[in-house]
Amino acid sequence: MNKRITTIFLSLVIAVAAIGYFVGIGDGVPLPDGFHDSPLVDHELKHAASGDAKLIEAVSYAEIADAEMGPTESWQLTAKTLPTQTYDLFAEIKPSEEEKLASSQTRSSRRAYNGAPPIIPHAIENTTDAACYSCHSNGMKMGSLKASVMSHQFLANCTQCHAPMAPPPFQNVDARVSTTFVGLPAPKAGKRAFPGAPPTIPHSQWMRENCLACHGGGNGWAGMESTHPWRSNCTQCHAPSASLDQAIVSETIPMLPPLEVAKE
Amino acid sequence: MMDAKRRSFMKATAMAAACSMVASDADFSLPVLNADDGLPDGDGLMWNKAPCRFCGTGCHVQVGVEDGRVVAIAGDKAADVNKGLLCVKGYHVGGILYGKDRLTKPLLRKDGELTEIEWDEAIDIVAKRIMDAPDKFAFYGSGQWTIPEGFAAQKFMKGGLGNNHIDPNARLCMASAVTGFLATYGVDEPAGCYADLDECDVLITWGNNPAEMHPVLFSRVTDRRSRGETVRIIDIGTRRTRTTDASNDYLEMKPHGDVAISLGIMHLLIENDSYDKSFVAKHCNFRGDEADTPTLHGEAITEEEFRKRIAKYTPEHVEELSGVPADKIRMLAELFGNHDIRITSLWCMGMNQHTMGTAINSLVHGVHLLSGHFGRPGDAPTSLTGQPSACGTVREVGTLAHALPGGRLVAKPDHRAQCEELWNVREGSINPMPGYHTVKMFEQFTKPTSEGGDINTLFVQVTNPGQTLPNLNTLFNDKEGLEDKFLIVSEVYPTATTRLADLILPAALWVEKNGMFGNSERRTQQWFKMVDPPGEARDDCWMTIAIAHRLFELGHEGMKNKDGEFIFAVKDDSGEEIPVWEFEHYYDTNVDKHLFEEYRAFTTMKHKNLAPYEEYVAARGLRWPVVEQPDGSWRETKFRFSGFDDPFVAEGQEFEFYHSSSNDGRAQIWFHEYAPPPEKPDAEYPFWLCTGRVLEHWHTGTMTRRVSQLSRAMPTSYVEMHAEDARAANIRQGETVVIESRRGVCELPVWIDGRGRPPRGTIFVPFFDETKLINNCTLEAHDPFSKQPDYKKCAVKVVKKSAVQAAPDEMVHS
Amino acid sequence: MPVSGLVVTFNSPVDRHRETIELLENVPEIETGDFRNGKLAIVVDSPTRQRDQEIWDWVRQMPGVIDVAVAFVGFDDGQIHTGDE
Repeated sequence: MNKRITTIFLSLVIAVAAIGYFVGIGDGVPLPDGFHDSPLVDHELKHAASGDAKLIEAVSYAEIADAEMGPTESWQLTAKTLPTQTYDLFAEIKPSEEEKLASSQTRSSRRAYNGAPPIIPHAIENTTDAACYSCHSNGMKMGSLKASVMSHQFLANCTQCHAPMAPPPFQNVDARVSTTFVGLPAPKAGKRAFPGAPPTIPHSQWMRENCLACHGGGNGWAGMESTHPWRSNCTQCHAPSASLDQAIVSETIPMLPPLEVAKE
Repeated sequence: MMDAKRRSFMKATAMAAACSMVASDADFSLPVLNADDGLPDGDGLMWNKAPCRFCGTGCHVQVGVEDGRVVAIAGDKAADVNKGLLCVKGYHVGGILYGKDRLTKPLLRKDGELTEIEWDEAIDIVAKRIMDAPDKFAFYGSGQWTIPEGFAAQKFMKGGLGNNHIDPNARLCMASAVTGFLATYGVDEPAGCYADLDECDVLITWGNNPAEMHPVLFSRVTDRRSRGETVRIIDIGTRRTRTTDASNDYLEMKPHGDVAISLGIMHLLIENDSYDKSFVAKHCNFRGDEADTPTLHGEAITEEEFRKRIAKYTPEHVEELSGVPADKIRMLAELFGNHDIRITSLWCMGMNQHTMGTAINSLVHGVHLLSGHFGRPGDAPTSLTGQPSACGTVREVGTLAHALPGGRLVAKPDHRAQCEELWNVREGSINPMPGYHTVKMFEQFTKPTSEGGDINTLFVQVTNPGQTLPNLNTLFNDKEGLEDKFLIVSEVYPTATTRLADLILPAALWVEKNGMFGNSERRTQQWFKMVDPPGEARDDCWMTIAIAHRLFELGHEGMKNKDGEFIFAVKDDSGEEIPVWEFEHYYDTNVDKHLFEEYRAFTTMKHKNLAPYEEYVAARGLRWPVVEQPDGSWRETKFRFSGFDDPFVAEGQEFEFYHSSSNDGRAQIWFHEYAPPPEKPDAEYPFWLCTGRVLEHWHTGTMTRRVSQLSRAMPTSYVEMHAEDARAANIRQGETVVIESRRGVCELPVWIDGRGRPPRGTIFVPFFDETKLINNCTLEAHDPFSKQPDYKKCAVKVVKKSAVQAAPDEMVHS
Repeated sequence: MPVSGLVVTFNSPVDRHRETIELLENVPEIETGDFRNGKLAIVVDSPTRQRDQEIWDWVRQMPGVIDVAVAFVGFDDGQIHTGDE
């Protein structure tokens, strides 16, 4: 009898201890913190992983020793090369008015007025200058995404002038403002002295020293590309504007007085 | 099966991504290529120069105007300050004029409702309230006042009403910089200029984040690196910022650690015998606080005494006080001990909004003087300002409760007499008692009259105290319900201040009026009106003159000069008075020019000489002292007190501090004992709260938050928090929390690993957002000499909003 | 089988482009989502890359459309190939 009571008592103690143990470890488990969650670890995707040749399903620690961790089905011995676009300097370029209009409209949608530094059309996170330069120094294209080329020399502190989109935690905050500001629109085209003459440069050259950033070189804006990108000395033929460049401000062009011709 | 589920999930994700882009993207501000529907087309575009409306850097912009509207902005290539470059705020400065909710009509609160009234009635109301109780009137102005606006307000109050209750928001911004300069050099404002940034080998930022707050100056330094030069940037701060990203060394200090660090550097300079003995022997004295009641003047101490007092600030002791490792203090002392390199220090609000503001300003000047890193290009202790004319209008015109124009003081009989003479007002017009400084002024205004609150009419121009005062619940919000207190606000948009205003006057803004500013490097700048203000908005300067004239008509004696004429009388060439108090005649002449020429006469006493108005029209600003040359041209001064550049240094002297408070041509090296901050985190309020700004918004955001490009980049205020602190409190990214101090609460979304990264136990909140007033929480404790409050440190707790809603009782606060 | 989330930008507020949006909605591969001002979110779920490109180009040609931007692209070509084998 005594023995039986002892047995029952001991089993109770063990049961309580076991429950206590599980309650104990259950209590301190941290909740998901939300800092590093990404769509990839979502439950839905986890289910999908079993059918996906590119994903390896996570296993419990106990199963690690037996789990196959080798290459997936789609693993290949050599890395696939990303398709790179070859740029043909001498390819014939026929900019169309429609493309030019479309490009101008996209350009304008990213500026408060013509001449304003464009906004950054994507969110950035603790971005250093190096991060910006990695895509925007020479420009790049990936799929339908295009990183434009810097039109000016290397300058530090990119976000000094270029306003980004809202930081990730505040992307859903309504940031609309009501304003009646109307910015200066972009010029449609440079003026030509006569049909066939090279057009003048209709904008300031300040901060736009690299003409090919917009006008060619494989990263230019459709419809605004130069038809002759192999010619590298742009201002040889296209005249800048002294007043737009804040170079020499003069109301009238100074000239010598007219000839004095004696009247009869 | 799996595939279908996955695809639907991917589609949902794709939709969510696309929708969030739609939601986050504001509307286009710019109609594209529509030259035919009356929009600007660039054909009639006219460009003209103006200084930027925002910070104290004082960049010049070119303003593009077409059909009476500002349509474009360009950096001014002819400007020495910014050399054609601007920052994101500057490029969008034109947009600030065109918010849809511009105030365009005077509004009077009648039975709690705002109703439109005519200007004439508005001026009448103000004048009569002043006439009824001239000494209960106070004028609260700004470092955004133009120089003529500030001068008119100053003359109206001190010369006309004999009332010294005039103080500017700059009291909250750079008052400690002023007292630091006065204590050290006997005269205000930096000796060096921005050219120091082109020459320095080492740049030390003391509690300063110029990469965001003075970006044009900061990139002037970092761009030197792009050109292959070596500049070592040392960032001393309480949190990591974009400046830290560009710096070589980051020294993270505890709040008030800067005082210990500067003492530690001076200790080692003496200990290692590496201080500049000849500079100190020829040009410096030592000074310390009086034992009983310390004053700004202090008392002379010997070098021996200085050594004795500073002996205890060993690197190890400094490490204990500041949290900066002793080795780093030694590193700083070694740099200062090296006379072959040039060192520039930059600071702004970190050292000024400090209960030891005067002390830390003097100490950093002391570090530069003791080490001889002073007065050569690149060797400079440089204090930056946050407002476009904190220097020009507040410090030079002296629109402070204790000051008179040109560095004079109301307490000095000879200074009062000089001003009375220059203003041509009766002898004894100026009251010898200093008026109320900002915090006191608002205390007296929000305190019921029955309890001794003896300010009953307050006129606020060009600033937003309802958002920027510390401890808003006490200093501002208590005004509500006090029937006999009357708040007059001149503003361009509805703000946190107009919320409680009894009379709102619509104001002209920036290039809607003539103006002059004075920037951080002693540069006085001028611009002309380029576009008309909207509706019935009018110039602030005109308001002051119109009120003064109404008082003149009511028979106020102070509004007449000694000859019985109106104190702001302006005459045309034939000697006829122009009725500038009528707005339709205000621009019949250039009132700015008349006021500026009158003001110029005040500036020579402290050798802050200004050139005639026309010189500023031609230049992109000139740095005073501007002195006429034998050939009739006007020469500006880059390096003050340095013999090679400053015309007032005696012939043959290398340096001369010609306004020395010890009257011997020497500067003062101060000793101040370290003191802990007035409020520290404890068990109940465990976090340090620091407040500040962000790149995209300027001050209270009333202007920048109406520009879509800027609003979109930073749509809301937030609280920066360390990830571990957030984890410990189970707070997630973006979650709204409640910040609570002993004085008030503020709800904000959390940004972990945000723009800046505070250490554990510190949070940071920008103050630009009028819907999230963090100054409900800040402390009004202030520096004893400058009366400037400390916005950079107080104790708070961070509570999850869900926890607050569950237990509402805990939220009751006094 | 690419899935992409796109943002279509119109030259004026979306509600002035009812006809265009109806045309979009009639395409079985396109789902339309939120819109605000001049921007409309759509998801394209098409069987082949070629078809995706066609839809993309077609959307760009629609009256009133000035820009099409990518918000999300699902790359799962690999999986389809394995499934076929």
